[in-house]
Amino acid sequence: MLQQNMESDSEEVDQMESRLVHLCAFVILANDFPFHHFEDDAIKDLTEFLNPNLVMPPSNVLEAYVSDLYTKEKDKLKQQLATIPNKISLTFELWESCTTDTYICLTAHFVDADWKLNSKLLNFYLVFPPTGVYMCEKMVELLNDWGIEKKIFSLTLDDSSENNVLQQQLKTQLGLENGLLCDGEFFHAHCFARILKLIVEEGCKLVSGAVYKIRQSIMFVRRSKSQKENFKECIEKVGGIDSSVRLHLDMTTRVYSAYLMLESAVKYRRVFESLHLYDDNYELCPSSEEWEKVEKICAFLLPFSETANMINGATHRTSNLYFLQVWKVQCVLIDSLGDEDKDIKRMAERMLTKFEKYWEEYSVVLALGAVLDPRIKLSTLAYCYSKLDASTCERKLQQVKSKLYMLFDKYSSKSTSSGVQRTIQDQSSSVPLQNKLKSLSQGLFDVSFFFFLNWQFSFLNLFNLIAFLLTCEI
Amino acid sequence: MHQRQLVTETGKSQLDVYFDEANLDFHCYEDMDVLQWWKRNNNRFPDLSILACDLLSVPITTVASDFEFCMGSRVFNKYKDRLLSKNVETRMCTRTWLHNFVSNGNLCNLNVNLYDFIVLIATFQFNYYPPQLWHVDGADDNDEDDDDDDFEETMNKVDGDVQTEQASTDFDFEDDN
Repeated sequence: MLQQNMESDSEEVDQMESRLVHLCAFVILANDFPFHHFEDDAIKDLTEFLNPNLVMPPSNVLEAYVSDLYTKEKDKLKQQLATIPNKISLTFELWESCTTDTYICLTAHFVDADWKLNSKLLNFYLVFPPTGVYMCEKMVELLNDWGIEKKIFSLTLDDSSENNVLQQQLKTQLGLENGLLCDGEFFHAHCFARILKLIVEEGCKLVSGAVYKIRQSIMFVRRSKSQKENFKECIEKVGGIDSSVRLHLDMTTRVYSAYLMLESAVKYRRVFESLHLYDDNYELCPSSEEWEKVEKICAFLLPFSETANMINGATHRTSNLYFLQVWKVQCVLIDSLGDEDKDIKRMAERMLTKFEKYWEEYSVVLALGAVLDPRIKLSTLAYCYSKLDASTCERKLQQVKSKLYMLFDKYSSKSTSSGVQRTIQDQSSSVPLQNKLKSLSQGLFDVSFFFFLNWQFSFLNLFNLIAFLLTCEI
Repeated sequence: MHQRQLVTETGKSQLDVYFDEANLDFHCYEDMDVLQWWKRNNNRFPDLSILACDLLSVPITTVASDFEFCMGSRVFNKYKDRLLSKNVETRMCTRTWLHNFVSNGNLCNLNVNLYDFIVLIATFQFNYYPPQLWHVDGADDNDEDDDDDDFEETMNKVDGDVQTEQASTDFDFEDDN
């Protein structure tokens, strides 16, 4: 009897122990604490106070536990990657540590057995030297380790000379092993966030003088408690200011921080101006021309910032949504070419050059994703293309179609090469499309498009929607 | 009803059939998850749905937005020299993988907040004492004596009445034998 009690209790003790280690490890992982977190004096005091008899697991136990977890989860993920019928898209990033070590951050994106889009971090790997050739070697090694070297669909990465070398070499390498579709035509994807970043930077450059002054102004206001009080007084004096908006300072590491800074400062324009009159020490207030310019630029950059938010915040981050977003960016840029302000016009021209370089190379993959959205298909695509340039619309559509048939050919088990030819020539499916285009060109605004736009901008307020529809229609 | 239509009977390729069908209305399917649509229509477009999955999973940006990735920058500021490269990978990967997993039943996922954890420690049975394993490792020299005491108590405790509060404080070692 006693013996039995002993056994069951010690079992229970073991269970509680392992549960404690498990939870400690999770706390460490979730909060990114060091492994010796629970050996910290303050934490020790706390746990002792809560439970004087409890001794927390030491760091080496936790480290071993996490390492064990890693191995188990890695095997699980490997298994999953091996069993899915779909291909895998990769994103490739480089992270730099304070000690200037470079790490490869490799992420896999794939549709799992539940038909849900999954993103899993595969590797976070120290690489030295970070040259294209060496990174390619490493990448092949990593992909082989995961056993997915024949399952890669695309690789998304930033544009840099090393990355381009990597991308090309990897394409050749994987191609040699027959691991790529259509000789890797769809292998390389560009990073759109980078294009957005370049565009926003270009916009901020135009008002660099004002950006400097605004930064100094915010720093001036934040410098001391009395300055903050002064600023608050000014807010009350001026009145009608929504003081819930925080003044942002820009950070070099954040992509849109300069824009956020300008946007927040513009809201306090009158306060800064009144502070300028009231406080002699405050010298760097932007002039009224500068303020106006900043306001204009902010209004211009708003859709880009929204696009960036959408890309980051979308619930289903499937590529069908991206086409419309990218298309919207292009619409705004093209509209801005006719802006009466010369500076904005010139800026839009420069931005459009950057944008078009991207669009040329990547639009097809995006368009293919859009076509496979049963709400978009070819008809909406045709509408989007015709809005941009009616003369090239048909050619672009045909290009997308032929690419899709070419790809589908690889996927369909029964089809023959002649089948592809036949289907491209088959015009029957594009007749309703032409009708639709005709009606659109006559200025009839399809109701479904209204809903489509409504859906697309559901995250904007109504005003923005109307404003955009207006610019779109003109 | 159109879901039951068989592709083979029409003599057209799956792609043709797909294009021939009318678009879904944006208003009605505003928040649709496209992948789920392809899942539902998988029997009609077995090949095309695989192609769709592959194309739809192409990412537009390398900038990872999931909050767990924000940690990247922190790792590099906080632990710059102290973590071996292998260690960083273990941490980063395990963290992101577990975020999506709920492991065996009642063991919670990664979103353990500190408060819950403290409650757990506090309610952790007073009757259970530090495991043998940790003593063997002996990571902390200062605590070694205490640990030994705890250990003996543990052995004693096993027989004690775990339900009474007194058990943790008024236990008599001799009773066991």
